[in-house]
Amino acid sequence: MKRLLLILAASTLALWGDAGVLLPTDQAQPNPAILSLDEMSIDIRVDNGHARVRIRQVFGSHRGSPLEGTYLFTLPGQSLVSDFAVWDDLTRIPGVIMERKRAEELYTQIRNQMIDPGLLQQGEHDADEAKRTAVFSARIAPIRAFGTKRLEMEYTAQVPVERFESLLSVPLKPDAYRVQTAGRLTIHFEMTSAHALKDFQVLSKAYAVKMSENKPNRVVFDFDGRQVKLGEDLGVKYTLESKGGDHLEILTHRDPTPTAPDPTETAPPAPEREPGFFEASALVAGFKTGTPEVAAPKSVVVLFDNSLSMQWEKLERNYQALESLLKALAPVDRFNLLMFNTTVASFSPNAVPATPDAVEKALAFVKASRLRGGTNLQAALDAALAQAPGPDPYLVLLTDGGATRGIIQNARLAEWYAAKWKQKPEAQRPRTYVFAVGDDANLPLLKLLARNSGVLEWVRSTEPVEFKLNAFLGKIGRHPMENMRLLANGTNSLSYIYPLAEATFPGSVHSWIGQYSQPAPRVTFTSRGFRDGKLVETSAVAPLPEQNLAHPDLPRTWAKARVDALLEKIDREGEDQASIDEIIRLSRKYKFITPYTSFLAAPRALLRPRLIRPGDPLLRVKTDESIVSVVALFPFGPVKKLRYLEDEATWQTRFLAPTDLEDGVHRVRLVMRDKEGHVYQESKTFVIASKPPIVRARLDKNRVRRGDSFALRVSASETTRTVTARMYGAQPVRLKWNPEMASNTGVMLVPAHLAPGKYTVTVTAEDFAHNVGSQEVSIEVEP
Amino acid sequence: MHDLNGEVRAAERVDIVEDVFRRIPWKIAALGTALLLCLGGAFWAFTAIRGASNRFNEATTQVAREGQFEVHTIPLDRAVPAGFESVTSPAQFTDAALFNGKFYLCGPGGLSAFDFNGKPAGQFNVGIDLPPAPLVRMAVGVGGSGIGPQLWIATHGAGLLVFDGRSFQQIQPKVAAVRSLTSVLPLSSGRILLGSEKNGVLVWDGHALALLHPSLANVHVTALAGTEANLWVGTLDQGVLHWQAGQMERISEPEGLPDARVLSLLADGTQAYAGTALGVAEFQNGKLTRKLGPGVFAQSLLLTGDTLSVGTLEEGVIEVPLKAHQPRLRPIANGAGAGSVQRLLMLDGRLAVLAENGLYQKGRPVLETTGARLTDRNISALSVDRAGKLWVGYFDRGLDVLDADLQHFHHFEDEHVFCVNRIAQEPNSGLTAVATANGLAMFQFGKVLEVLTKAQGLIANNVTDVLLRPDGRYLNVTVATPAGLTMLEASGSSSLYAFHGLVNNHVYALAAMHTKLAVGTLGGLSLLDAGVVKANYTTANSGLKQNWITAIQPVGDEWFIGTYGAGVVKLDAAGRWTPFPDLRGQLEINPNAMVATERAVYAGTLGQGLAVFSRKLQRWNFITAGLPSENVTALTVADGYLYIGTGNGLVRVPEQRVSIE
Repeated sequence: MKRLLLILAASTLALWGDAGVLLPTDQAQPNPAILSLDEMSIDIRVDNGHARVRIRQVFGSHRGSPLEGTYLFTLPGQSLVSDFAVWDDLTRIPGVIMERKRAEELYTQIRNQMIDPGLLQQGEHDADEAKRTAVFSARIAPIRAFGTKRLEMEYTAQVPVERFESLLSVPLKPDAYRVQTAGRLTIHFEMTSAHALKDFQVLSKAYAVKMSENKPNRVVFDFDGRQVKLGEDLGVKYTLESKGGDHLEILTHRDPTPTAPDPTETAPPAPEREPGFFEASALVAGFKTGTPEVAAPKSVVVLFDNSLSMQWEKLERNYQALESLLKALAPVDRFNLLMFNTTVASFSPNAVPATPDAVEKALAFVKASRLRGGTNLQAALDAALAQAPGPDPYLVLLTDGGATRGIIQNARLAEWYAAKWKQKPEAQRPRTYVFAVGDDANLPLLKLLARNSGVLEWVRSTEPVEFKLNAFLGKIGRHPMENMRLLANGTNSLSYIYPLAEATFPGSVHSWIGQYSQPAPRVTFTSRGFRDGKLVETSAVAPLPEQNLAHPDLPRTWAKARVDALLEKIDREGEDQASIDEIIRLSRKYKFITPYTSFLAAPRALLRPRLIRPGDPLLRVKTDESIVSVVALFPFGPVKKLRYLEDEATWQTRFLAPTDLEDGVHRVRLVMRDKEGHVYQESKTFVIASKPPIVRARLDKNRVRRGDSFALRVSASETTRTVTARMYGAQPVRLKWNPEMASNTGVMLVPAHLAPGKYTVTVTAEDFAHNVGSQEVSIEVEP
Repeated sequence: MHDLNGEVRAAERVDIVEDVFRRIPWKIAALGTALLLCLGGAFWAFTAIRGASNRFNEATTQVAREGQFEVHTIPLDRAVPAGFESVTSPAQFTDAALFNGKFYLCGPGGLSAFDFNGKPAGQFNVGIDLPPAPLVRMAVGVGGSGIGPQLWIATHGAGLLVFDGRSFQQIQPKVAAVRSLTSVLPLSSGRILLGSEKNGVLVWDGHALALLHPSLANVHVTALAGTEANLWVGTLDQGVLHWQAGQMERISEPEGLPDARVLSLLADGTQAYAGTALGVAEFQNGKLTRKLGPGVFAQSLLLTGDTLSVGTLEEGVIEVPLKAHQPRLRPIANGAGAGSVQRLLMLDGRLAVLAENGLYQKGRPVLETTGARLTDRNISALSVDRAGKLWVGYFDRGLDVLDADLQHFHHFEDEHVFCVNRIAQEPNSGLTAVATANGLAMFQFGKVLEVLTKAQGLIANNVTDVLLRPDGRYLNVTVATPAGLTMLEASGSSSLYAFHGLVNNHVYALAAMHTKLAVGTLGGLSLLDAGVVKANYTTANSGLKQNWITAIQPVGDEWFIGTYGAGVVKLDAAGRWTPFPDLRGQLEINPNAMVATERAVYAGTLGQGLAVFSRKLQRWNFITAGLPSENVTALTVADGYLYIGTGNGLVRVPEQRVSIE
């Protein structure tokens, strides 16, 4: 137990991480000759849109000496890790949620056994950003010689509904790594839904599942295979039955038994009877599937944030959103583009028709700009509201929301905007659509801004952008439900009721979650709202039972909603001890991480992406503050003392990597000494990347008719993170790794309105160090 | 007893050393005892273990024939090119030896001799008297030639040097990879064992250089100790290799070694000690018996009676009483402060400590070393300001500003001015911009005006190059970083990178010509005009043979483009690329190490010295003589002098004296 080191860290390794990869130290890829995935079982339970995915993996070591490894799991967007455990022989070592302060104390205590500093690399994110990323990473040591290591992981996620359709994907396909093969893979899937389902499909062809139940309200299937290549994500898709029109369903959960105090709690509160929880889920009809809506002319003002804080992924995602948005507009639509940082720069004095030429010019306008420090969001919003009114106006804000000039307080800025927005005649008030990018997006502010007849969509720096972007763009031109409310008759014990979505569009589900303190035999719930100005009301009758254990995810869902509300209050009114205490209590009780808690089982590493180049790389290390000396032992010989930089609380040295040091993963050892003279050592890896990605692109044809598509097949260097193809007038295509083709593949659709002629397809690959390589290929577009 | 090569007992020294010993005064007599014991030990060992060595020789003779390395034996008596003047770097020592009646210290700068009173008695500088490679270890021994004791010096990059007291000879392996040595151990048989970085343990028998044994090949050797019959080999990552009676045993962490990286070795009869980064292992009769000094960074070892002294990287010297039931560490004062202890010796019956900057005993320096005019040896940037002051940036030691006479300097070093990449001057305003790994430091009138970082609008803190361009009343500053470019202009700061069209984010070099800006990156060259990317050049669409651009120099209306791996190519105003036929093969131009005059273009290379392009003859030649290192890292020209910064010191030479033939 003493030697067990388990470090749970959120890291910006992001797209390096795949689902359940255990990388031996010093290996850039999973290597079954060293560590094989002997067993894997996946248990998926979806209860009315609440998905809980539990994964158990057993890795076998084929080495005669103990190993260390790094476990990486790329979380699907907006999912929450709810459990992680590693087994040390017969002992299960679970991760625990702790108050941040307590976690730091523990960190100090465990430090005497092992200190785990991180490597920082110039040009990457800073340490704060490491706290908020989508890759779950745990360092696993020791893995005994010829032994096995069992890991367990659980996460929860909400399954979104768009246009009555839902898609759930469990990531198994490699992103950065080679395909893993599971010696044995078992999958159990179980879904229940109060709303009737239809057209349930298992999208993954690689896993021949055995369907044992496929009913409107319940689906069960299993898979059991040996030597299974994990070359495809496990995806399921289904449609909510909308024939019945608007429809309300009520779920309840109550376990009156007081929960046992957490073993790590230093001062456990007295046990209390547990409240009950309910969820009211309204299926909002009014959207016809299969028939594209007739697009009325729109006027769109896009606010594009190009301040310095948008550097890297945020800017790329912002641009991707802009490009997709503008290219989705029809020539009857009008648009203008305002770029903002410290100042606001306008593409055009007034909105212009969204012709392909105007769109390309607007995109070029962005590319020709430069990033500038500072963000005056107030000035940008002001300029957008001042644009000449057009039909069905939209204000689309693409930003991380980090205001540094003008009004910068969230509540004040939101208040100012709402007041300014309301000053306009009702028909000229733009629907405020916000596409937030980045792990550090200022969601509280952006949420408030989107409340002005708009929606908010948030994509993190590292998660795939397509699904959310498509959902966001799909809502432009459609109107959300307004003034959605939940009413209840037959009880007065309901409390703490929160909506689970800010805006709901026809074709999706609007849910509320709340508590009840007293059971009741018959309660009438009514959802009420306005669709296109018309009142829509639907009711359901349900009991509030004394005991019902059918929906165990409701308490955590409620707790998360309660915490979100408390965080919004803190953001609006400032911190207060009662709110903080409640957040910590809920976080620990229902197991999810908040800004006031940490999830750890041992010292947390700030393991950084560490791509460097031969020549004169920098080695930067963060350690516990008690460390007084750090010495680096490089694999090629030199021993370097690191210098402490007080301003950055970072140790740094510079070293010359020899010219013959090959690109790849290398290990540097750090020997640290604390004030007491205790010595600790730690190994860290770094990657030498001296070459930008090399791109080789091929098209399946060199002539294509307008309205047709062509396929791209691109091979790129191993370190490549993204591959994107662009062509004038066409939507950009993000190519995906196709294990069967052993290439990155994608299909580009040539717009039907594109003028015939010769066009250039530019394929750009970017690696983890933001090095880019590109290749241009010509194609002839025929009438 | 000491931890130099060939440890023996004092009573067993032989007569050959006595004549030398009688002439040594008290001051270094005891030191002489310790050092000469090596030599005496070698002769004792020769007679005492001849039988064992025969077996050893039999085992290795065959291998020597099979695994021989071709060498050049070069007398080092060539005249130094005239005009090269070294700007003294601080003394830095790695080893000590008593030889031929003098006390010698070696280090990256060369070999320093001292007389019996500790006064300087000779200096042999690398690049001038010696090949341009740091000296790492040395030992006295009788080679196979039978001409008596010689000083054998292992170098990092130039093979083996032999000094007979008057002249040097270089034994240079033909293959460059074999030239980086780490340790030297003269054997009683007259053969010299050499530890190498890439080729394991080598043996020099006076005629041929060969691999000692296949089992010791491809090992990164860090230390050697013992005898032919009982050889100990320290390695970088494989622990200790113990060779005894034709058998080799590997002892590493699984066998109880504190750490697989061995930093020092000491062998004394049946006892041996291995110093590692995490403590010392004690061996008795070849078996690991216990670990001493857990966590001690044991760089050097000395055994005196029942006490083991351990020289460390930053904790000075620590003593370990070996007879104690539970040996406890005792830090002792040594005069070297917390400096890195390179070697421990006995001097006048008391401990002497060779630190990087000198030899100390009882807290006092024992030898007189000459004053330095620079703070460090590892130069990364050079520039001369309008007052004629020389600005010297260091790899990781900040910055010196030397007066025009090069006699006095001001040193700047803090959290920002630490790892210097480039220094640029703007003569009109007297501004100096110092690009560092932790921001851009702006100097004026010898003081730091401001340090610009991300907080001030830079796209990244690591500034790799900087360009100052006056624009009327304003100064435009272009900053290169691994994340793109930042322009500091009158309108404020703005940044661009690959998103905006740069060929790659990682920018290494900048140069301007009229309104054009050339941006050298890891992934090719971008040409900007009026701040907008106009062209991108890579190996795929140009005459570039390597995408990684490290230096750019405008020459007339052409750009000389230095690359990392493919030398220099030329780009003219019409966008035509021209290679240089006399620059073939792999050639790394160091970042921003290029400068041009009317006469020539100079480029600093990694490992091939100074590349010189005659503008008149239109051809390149390479200069290494006169340089302290073949790694030329920084260049500048002022007042007719070419200043040449290297990884091992600084020289200047009147430009007219630089051969362009």
